[in-house]
Amino acid sequence: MNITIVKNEGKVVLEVEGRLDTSTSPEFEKTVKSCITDATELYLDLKNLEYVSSAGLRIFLMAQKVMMKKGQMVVQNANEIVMEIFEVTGFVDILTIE
Amino acid sequence: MEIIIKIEDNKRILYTEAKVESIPQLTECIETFLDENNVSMKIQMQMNIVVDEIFSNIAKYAFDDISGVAKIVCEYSETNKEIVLVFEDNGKQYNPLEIENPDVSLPVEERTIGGLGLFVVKKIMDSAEYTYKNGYNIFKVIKKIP
Repeated sequence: MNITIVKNEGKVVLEVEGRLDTSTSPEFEKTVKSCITDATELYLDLKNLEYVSSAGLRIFLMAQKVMMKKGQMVVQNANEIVMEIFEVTGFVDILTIE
Repeated sequence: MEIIIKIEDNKRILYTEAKVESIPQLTECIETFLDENNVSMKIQMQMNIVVDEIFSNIAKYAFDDISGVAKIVCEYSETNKEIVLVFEDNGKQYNPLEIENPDVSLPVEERTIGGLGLFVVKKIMDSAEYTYKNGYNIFKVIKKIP
């Protein structure tokens, strides 16, 4: 998994590439946590994310809970497989998806 | 991580240490096998998710601190148009089907992640069956190919 971070004042964009599962989620969690401390807007660009398992969903949920208190989090460009996971788990209702 | 791969006509039998670190190799083996059988990329990725959910549970909870081995069988049947995945371990007795489904309609503040992995498995797969036999947990899931 590769993560590209683009920071512009309070706005942080994370481009996630590869697979977000049990083996890659610890690294993703570390990156997200370090980015959201001073972010007011967090964008997760998932166009190059192949799939996500519940290990990754746990981090999306954690980030959403933090960001909703101090700004917003937006999930962008999820593919069909990722969108289906968001749908069956009800994450479509708790995330802002573009 | 060491992985032992037994190749049979329409199946792969894999033995690997029940550790989270085994997951990338495991998914790679299964993906290659499904790819050879012209299974769509979408279903390959869905099987990777299922393998991650089930195997990570075994890796985290089946053996506590001692090391253990898990056996995974991936079978592709062209006649039945289905993929069968079987996970076997001789760790603690554990029936994943007894886990309650999470309430996926709760608002974000009340959401937790417990039970979500197996819920995803049940949603992706068409059937799931658990048996405990001779000290082994055997969890079998089937995906019908449209």
